[in-house]
Amino acid sequence: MQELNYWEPGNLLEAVSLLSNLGEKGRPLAGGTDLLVKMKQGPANWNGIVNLKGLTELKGIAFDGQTITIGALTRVSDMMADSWVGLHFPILVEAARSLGTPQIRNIATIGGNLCNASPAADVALVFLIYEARLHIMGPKGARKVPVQEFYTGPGQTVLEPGEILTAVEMDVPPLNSKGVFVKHGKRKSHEIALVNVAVLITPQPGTKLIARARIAVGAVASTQLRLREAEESLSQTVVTADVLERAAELAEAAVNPIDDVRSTAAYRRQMVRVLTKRALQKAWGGER
Amino acid sequence: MSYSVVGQSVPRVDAREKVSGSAIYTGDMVLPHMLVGKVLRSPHAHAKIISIDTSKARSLPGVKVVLTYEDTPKIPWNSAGFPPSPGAILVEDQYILSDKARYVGDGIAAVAAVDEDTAIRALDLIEIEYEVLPALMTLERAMAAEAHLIHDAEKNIYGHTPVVIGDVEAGFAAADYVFEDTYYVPKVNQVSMEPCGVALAAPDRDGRVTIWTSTQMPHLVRRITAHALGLNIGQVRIIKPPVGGAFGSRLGVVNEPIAALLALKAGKPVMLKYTREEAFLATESRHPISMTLKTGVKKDGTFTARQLTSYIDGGAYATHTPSFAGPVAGWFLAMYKSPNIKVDNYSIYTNATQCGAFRGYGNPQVVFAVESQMDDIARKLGIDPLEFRLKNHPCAGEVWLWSGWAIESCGLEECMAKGAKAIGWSEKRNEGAGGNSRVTTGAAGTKKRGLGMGYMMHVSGARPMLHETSAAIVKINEDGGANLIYSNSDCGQGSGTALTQIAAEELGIPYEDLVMTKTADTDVSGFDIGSHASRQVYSGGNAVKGAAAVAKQKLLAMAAEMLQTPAEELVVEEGQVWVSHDPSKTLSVAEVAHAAHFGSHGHQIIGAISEEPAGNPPVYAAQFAEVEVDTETGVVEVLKVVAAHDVGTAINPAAVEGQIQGAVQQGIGYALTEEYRCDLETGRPLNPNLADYKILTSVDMPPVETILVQAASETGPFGAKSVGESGLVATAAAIANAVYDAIGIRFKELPITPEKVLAALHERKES
Ligand SMILES: Cc1cc2nc3c(=O)[nH]c(=O)nc-3n(C[C@H](O)[C@H](O)[C@H](O)COP(=O)(O)OP(=O)(O)OC[C@H]3O[C@@H](n4cnc5c(N)ncnc54)[C@H](O)[C@@H]3O)c2cc1C
Repeated sequence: MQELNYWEPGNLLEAVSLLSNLGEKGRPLAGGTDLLVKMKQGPANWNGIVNLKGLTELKGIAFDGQTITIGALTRVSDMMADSWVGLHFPILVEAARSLGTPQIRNIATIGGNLCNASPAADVALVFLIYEARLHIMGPKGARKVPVQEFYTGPGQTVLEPGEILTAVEMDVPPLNSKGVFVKHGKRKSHEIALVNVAVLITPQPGTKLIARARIAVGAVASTQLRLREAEESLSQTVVTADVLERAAELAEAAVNPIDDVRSTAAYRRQMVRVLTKRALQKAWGGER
Repeated sequence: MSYSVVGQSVPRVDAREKVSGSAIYTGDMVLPHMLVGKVLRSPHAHAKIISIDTSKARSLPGVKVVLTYEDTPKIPWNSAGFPPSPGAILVEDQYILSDKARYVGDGIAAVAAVDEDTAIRALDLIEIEYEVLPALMTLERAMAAEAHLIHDAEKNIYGHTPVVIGDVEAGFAAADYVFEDTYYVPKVNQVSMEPCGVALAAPDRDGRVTIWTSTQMPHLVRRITAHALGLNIGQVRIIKPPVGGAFGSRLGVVNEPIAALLALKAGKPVMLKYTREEAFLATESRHPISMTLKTGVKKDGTFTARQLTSYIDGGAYATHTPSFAGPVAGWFLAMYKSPNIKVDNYSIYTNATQCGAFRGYGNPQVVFAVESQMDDIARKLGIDPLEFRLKNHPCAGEVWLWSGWAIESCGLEECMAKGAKAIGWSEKRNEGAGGNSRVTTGAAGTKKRGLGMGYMMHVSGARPMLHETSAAIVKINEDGGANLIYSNSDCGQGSGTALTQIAAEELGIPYEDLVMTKTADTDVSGFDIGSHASRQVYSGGNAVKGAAAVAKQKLLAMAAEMLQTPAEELVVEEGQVWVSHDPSKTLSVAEVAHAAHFGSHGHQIIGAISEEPAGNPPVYAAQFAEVEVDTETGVVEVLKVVAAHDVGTAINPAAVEGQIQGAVQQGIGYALTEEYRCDLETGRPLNPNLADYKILTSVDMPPVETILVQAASETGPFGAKSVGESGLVATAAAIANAVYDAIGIRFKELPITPEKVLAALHERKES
């Protein structure tokens, strides 16, 4: 058993200053659905908890017609219920619906899903294909980081001690873009992904070409990945079975999964190919 | 036969308290001055204990007791909840705390402290020096000649259960075909909603200890706990509050002796509540078994010889295992007829957590193997799988080798016919060798569908292997209502409701007027074996019916006096007594009971009985599964399950269907997702939690159609037989056979995971 110190700051600056004083010994607490599990699993090298739940400025969703801003402390269930999110970012809702159970979704936050930096995170994966920008506040002031530059390893991010994720910002994707989120696990609910895939396809207006494709995969490398080569192979192409198959093969080649209690590396690699292909097929075949 | 309340789906006696959340389980209870117990568990799978230093833990403020092996009575015991019986082979190799670490999680020390935090802190302060020994995690390693001995036995193979009927070698020689296959089933956990291992022990000033415990067997737990502590039976009182599911996990002693010893040493009540992780780590799961089946068969589908050789991984302590080997033989023997049968079951120690009972008690393992091979044989011979089974299973009137007695009733044929119709057997099953799936879906036909089935038979109680004693008291109150006093070991299955229905039916009073002791208390009720072997409605039901019959006889004698009519001419139904040939001469049960209490010779009408039932009527089921195999991901999706069960008379049909539905969920998990795994080098469990141990959720469940066939027994109460365990026994076989039907690949090892399916598909493609 270890000693634990606990704070409930009243505003963001107080939270930042508490956390910067704690340094490596401090952790922000949002919903706690990851943090409390870790605390239960045994002693950690940190012992100061700063609860962010009182910081109303980190909650809520704002939309200006082009850019949506989701507060880091927004609960997964609240994001799912937001009509702008549902209209312009539907696969964020799909991913959110697959996260845990209703009870978990009522506590878990968007920011926690990102900052926990699990390679298997579901909502965080979709931010990669919407090319979200993360608002960060810290002792040295505010900064914005593209989500694809946020992760440095499993459980690791660019956040410095004292830094807090405050919001996630995304632009509405180009007209007629179609996204798909696929989660593969051993059961249909209450499951951590063995592999998850998110794709977004933007067609070239007035043609049968793909203008741009975005593909992100999770649980198959030390961080979640955007698969640039596979994406490139699709841009400005006419979709055929062979083209999709080729992109799926490039996806498979780009990942580096591990064996663990949930699955084997070999199986995960195969699933990247199958699920990428299926997601692309579905995204392209669906209405545009 | 028409009954008034038997056969009705009346609401459960415990429905209101459970649904409203007001039921008080053991873990909810609080007593004044109650301490919290915690157990220190070995981090090593196999290690000698060189030294233990508890001084720092003892001096921590708030710590009241610290125990190690040194402080436990030197009385070896066996935790399995068996009555002394011909089939109970009870190797006594356990102590309340261990003298050696034999699995990761073995209890080495225990503390009682004023609160949980202090107790956990005290565990951290206990210093133990171990000498680590090789962890024997597989059957092969444990059986190897040079293997370290886990106990002071000559070998780690410590039991052999042989059965020989006829001459199998001659039988194989006479066969047209001989099939030989080895099957392996993994360790799976019961995962009762209330984690296994919750006990609250309170000593009193008279040298007694009362233990509230979440158990299936109050009287046998009293017996074993008293023995382990060196007490008399009378010094231990077991009370069983509502139990949040058991499925066999509480079939014997779990942590009652540790809780009681802590409480006795502290002189205060101690609550000992295992976490989910501890329930995985330190309580019994289903046995992994390696089974080799050799079957000789004629071209016409008759058997010439059947042979089973099984290696049973019992884990680190004997508990159930050597006795369990008996039913494992019994299931195999009794499924199909053959002039020559041979069984060799071996019990083996390994450095895994000990195994015990889990719904079906060896039958799910055996049926998976036997019914998988039956499917292969039927295909090879070109015989319809249903006919093949009907041709070879023993029918009503024939000898049932499980008990050696004649089969009382058998509804298997009807189960097969109705089940086959419900699943669409003749239209949807694929032809020939399997894998020629007629139905394919998905892009480019990547998903293939198939149908499979499995048959099973099961017991109603464990006679003649084990005693099946039950006792009941029925007393009629002065207003005509009645109490049933019974050691109600209902752990969620609904047996208490069925027993209440049986008592009300026999006594002739409305169901609502009969109150049962929902809580079992060994100071109050007569000796009862408890909940095992699907026995409650059959064995308990017979005792309850008997006690009600005695009370009814006395009631009618009293009414005869009042009506001046011979008792033989009286009937009682729905709370009213009347003369059978003159219904105008009538009295209410209330009037009779009032006169009994307060009339010329004051007495309460009481019927009491303690007995064993006359038989052990088998139940039957045919289960069918339709699956869709995704050949690109290896995922097997179960589309539908049809479970046609002969349960005898269904006392409460809704409860019977609930038992089957719930069991099918566990059966699908056994087939596809569940496996309690450990690191084979260190023995550390890999998934002792509900994130990584995959039980199916409601979203994963396919439609399950239950079909009840009611071939009434001769010896059961109102013709009842059993249903508690049988719902999951044939499920895995039905699914494995459906997978074969879909893709033509035979899986001989459970669970059938996507990884295994995909690997097998690739291997076939390459060859
Ligand atoms: C039963 C169960 C099922 C689950 N299923 C899924 C699933 O299906 N898919 C999935 O993706 N996840 C799943 N999770 C994980 C978890 O619920 C999610 O990752 C969730 O979004 C985490 O959010 P939280 O608010 O609870 O984070 P917390 O646990 O509070 O925090 C997580 C980490 O992020 C840090 N942090 C949190 N907020 C901030 C911030 N604003 N700034 C800086 N650092 C911060 C914390 O210090 C901590 O290290 C599951 C968890 C459980 C317990």
